[in-house]
Amino acid sequence: MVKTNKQGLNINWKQVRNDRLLYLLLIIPLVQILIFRYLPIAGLSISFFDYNVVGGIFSSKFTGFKWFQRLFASPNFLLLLKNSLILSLYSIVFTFPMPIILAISFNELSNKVFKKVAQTISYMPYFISVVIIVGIMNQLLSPSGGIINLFLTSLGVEPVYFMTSPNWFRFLYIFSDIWQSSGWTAIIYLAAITSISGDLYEAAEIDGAGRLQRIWHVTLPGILPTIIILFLLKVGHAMELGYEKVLLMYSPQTYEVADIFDTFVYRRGILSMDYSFATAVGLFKSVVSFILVVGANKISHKAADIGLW
Amino acid sequence: MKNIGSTLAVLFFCVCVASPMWAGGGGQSAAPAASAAPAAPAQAIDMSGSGGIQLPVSREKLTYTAMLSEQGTAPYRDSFVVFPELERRTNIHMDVTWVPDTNYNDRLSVVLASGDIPDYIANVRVPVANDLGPKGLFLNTWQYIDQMPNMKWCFENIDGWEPYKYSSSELYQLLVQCAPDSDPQGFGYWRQIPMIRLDILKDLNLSIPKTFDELYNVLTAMKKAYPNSYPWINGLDSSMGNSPLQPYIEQMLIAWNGDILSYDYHYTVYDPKTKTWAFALERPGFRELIEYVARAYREGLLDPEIAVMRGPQWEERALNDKGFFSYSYWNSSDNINLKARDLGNTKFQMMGILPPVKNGIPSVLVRQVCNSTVAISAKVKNPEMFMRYVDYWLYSKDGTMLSNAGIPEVNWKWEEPGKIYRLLDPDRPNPDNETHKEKYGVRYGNTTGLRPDHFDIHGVVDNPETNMYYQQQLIYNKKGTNPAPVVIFRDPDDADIFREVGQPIRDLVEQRLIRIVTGVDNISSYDSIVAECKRIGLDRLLTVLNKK
Repeated sequence: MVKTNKQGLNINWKQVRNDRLLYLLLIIPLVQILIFRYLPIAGLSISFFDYNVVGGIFSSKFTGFKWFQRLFASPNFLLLLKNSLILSLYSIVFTFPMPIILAISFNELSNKVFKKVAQTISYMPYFISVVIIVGIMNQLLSPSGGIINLFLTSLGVEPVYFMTSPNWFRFLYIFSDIWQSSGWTAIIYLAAITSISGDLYEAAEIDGAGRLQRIWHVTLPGILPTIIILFLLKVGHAMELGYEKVLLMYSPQTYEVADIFDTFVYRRGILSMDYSFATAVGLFKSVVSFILVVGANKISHKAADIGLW
Repeated sequence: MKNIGSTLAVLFFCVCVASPMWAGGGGQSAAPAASAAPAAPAQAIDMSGSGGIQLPVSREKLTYTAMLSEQGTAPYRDSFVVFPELERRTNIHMDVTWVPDTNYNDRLSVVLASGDIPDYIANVRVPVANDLGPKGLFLNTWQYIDQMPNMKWCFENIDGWEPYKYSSSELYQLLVQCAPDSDPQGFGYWRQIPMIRLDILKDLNLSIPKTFDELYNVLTAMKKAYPNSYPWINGLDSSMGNSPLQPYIEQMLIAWNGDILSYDYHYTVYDPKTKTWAFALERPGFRELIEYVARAYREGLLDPEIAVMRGPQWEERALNDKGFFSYSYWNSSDNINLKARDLGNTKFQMMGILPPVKNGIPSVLVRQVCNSTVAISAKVKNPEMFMRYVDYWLYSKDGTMLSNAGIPEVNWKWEEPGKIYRLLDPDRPNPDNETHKEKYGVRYGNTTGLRPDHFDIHGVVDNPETNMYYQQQLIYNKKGTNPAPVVIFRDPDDADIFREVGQPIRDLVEQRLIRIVTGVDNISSYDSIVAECKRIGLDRLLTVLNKK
């Protein structure tokens, strides 16, 4: 429909007219992206000013890189960077593969009824609010009455202070994330698996491939483009750790492992109303995410000739 | 025809999807006084009901907007009387946005950042009001003081109001929820007070503890009698940034070494004797206080979940005999007693007590001169009229009685005309302040300015427990209270230093102290906290606080 030649863009208007309803449908999400994703980028400029809430950006004093310098000189900076990167890495290493494993497992089930029920149960936690999830965790893991500690004490073990122990924070964060999101994300992989031609499985079976071999040689290569695309998106969102959950889970006792850029921005930007500084932190985080996604996209192109762009 | 139908269907779909995006709400949206015994006013207050404000305030109906904090224990109801009655008297309609108190601070910050604020905005902290006010976000209410006779009287006659002014001719906040020193119902107003289960004390034949040593013995005895309990329960307070220490350390400290610790000032303390600021951790006695709390934790007297416990968990502990002592808001005891009775536990009696003290330290509490401040938008329409409305509502006798008790002869009546009033409720024979608040929205957070006691008017209840509670407060109040200090940064560089250094120090201190309290770190790490705070910039923080 759209071709480029030496004269530039060459749009097939006849085809556009034929597909006009599709373009009409596309307008709404495009406008939404423009308003909620692109327009707010202008607000990032306050990270270079001492933002005046009354007069707005044009009456704010230009401060250059002052807030970034303050961030890098902050005693918290290295800790925030370390915690954010570690949680991101854990999320990629442990959370990312789970939906793939789950989708493949569902695909291998022969009992259709059980498959449907299991699938439904697996994605139901996705609809539970993060506030409820953390509340459930607090109840289950309470040292004074939680079911886990009651079980431990019945075995003669001392109660474990899961929610206030730095040693358990990362595990609980990732585990609850896996529990909540794997089922929902597995739907995407299941859809990709169903698009793999059945002939390939038949041919593999005829060639004597066992179940695991069929998964390795047919299923995984078949959904590899989907895996890579989602992986690149995951890397791009690596620093988006979801501050609500961390905010609900963390406490001063776990700051050393739990405090991330998002919670720092919340405390400084929202609670302390230090808007310019908090925006600078957010911008720094976005720059890191951008570098990660561009790098990952390049590597993906080189390795598998697949990429986001 | 088919194409037109498809086109219309798609357009209809687009409108349905798009409409939520376009719909939306409107912009709805400290030099300290010296501690002293109650002082008699220098001049007589205008005892006429409106204090000189002509009613109705406006000839035509005007509408203003407000953002107020909705208390979790008394959510907004249509039966709330204050604003409808104010509207009837003044011809001014207040369009209120109620924001849950648990996330009020977040919402306030976002609203202030937008620059588009409601006309009346509650719970604006002193540093914020005096930072954004001079920049033009809030109204300088002092320029209308001559049209506000009731507020003028307060500034001229009540100790402790003057420090809230930015300068002699500038005031960017209004003081609300103010209780006079002699007000028995001002006990620990807003600040946390100690409270204990009197019924458990009776059962165990124990006395109300008066010192920290006695408190420790009482907690130990409670633990022995109830081995599955943690007698001392304390939780997070969203108005103090969910700090696991601040809610009780603040009140304990003043009874431990006399220092005043205030949430706004990041673990620096004010010494009312020398009138200077110092770092709390370098003050004599603070380390011992932390050791005291840590020992309570170690021996199972302090709940292990102090760092994560929220309101519902605190209630669960209290109602199920898993916790018997707490530093909590003054009305928590009334709330929990009511809940316990509703559940059938008629013996349950959680009661505020005089603060346990260290030997030789007078028993006082940290108390705000006024519990909170509010700000008025600089863009408010017809500010003279609005300030007259506010003056009537918050500071006149009639407005005070309305916001504290309700409509006369409907929600309250005179027991002794002009002196003593009694609350009325057709559904309850003996209503008290808490039930009245829940039902009629009186004495509710940010909707009260003064207390009736300012006009020498007192409420009476027939509840013997409540009366005993108030009697204790009278004893306490006679000893005097120490108002929390107020610091106003007039130099923007000072405010910047306060912001840059204060929050990191607070975070560090909170993190390290809770680790000591919970036994993760040894008390020997205490000194390294001070050293790290100095590296962050503690000395600069103290310099700006002590600037005259």
